[in-house]
Amino acid sequence: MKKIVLSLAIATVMLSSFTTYAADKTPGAVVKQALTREFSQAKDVEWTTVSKDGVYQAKFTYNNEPLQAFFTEDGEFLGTTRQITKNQLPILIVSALEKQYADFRVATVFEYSKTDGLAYYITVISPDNAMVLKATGNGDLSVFKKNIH
Amino acid sequence: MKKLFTAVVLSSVLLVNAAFANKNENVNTRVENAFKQEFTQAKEVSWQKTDAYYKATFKLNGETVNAYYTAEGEMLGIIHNVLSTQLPINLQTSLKKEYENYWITELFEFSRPDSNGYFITIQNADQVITLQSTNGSSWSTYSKSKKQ
Repeated sequence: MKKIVLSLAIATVMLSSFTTYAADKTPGAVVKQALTREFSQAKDVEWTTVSKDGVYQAKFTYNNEPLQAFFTEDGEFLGTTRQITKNQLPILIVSALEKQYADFRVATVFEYSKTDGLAYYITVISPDNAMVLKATGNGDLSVFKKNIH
Repeated sequence: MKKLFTAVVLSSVLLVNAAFANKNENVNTRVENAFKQEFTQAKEVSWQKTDAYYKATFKLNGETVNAYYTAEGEMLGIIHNVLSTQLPINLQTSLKKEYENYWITELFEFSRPDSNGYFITIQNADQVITLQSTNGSSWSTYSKSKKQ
């Protein structure tokens, strides 16, 4: 259930309409310890909750770049999101974008890392259309959300 | 085929291109068409050939990339060097946690038609380790050797 909630939270992050349920809610010690365990050099940490079911989001700086990590209230690490550039995408995704979406430009790219896998969410824009694509490392692209104008 | 590509990767990257005798080889039409179909935006393309495969070196999006093909035009895979900051975040944190006192000597992304991942070679004063990741989340040891 919490993983489904996380997926929905990720989706809203990608679509830039993220809603928190209790602004700046501080988690318990077990969640904070989990963040330190996963990201020992995290700086400028801010906490929010992203669902009523106890999923916490930490926004922080890691390696001089902003990062978001998600945890359950029991301290289970669910995954991370970070904004990256097109050049940081796996090469087969870059190639697939240039073949299949030659008339679009890439607006934003998010890397979504879970403990068991990795996906990329890419917002592409043309003069009369915009959509969010989901990509896997081997260059498979699918439409995650159409017509986001 | 996966084994062949792994062998290609190791021979051409980790062992520094020992297999290639000539640059700018001519390629047959099947290979050339397969390449053009896959990489429509490739620039500065040059070819090298061994008995077993063709290797294209080219620029894509400003990055230098190598793609490997059989003589029948089947793509075996692609490799290109990346920076450690380009790794998925879980792989970066795993390196920091488990190999804190090592430094990176080689890091590249590999892509096959059925999967992709990363090879990284790290070393400390005593040993050299090559790690491989195929899931973008964790590393497994590909090889380990003591320094002489």
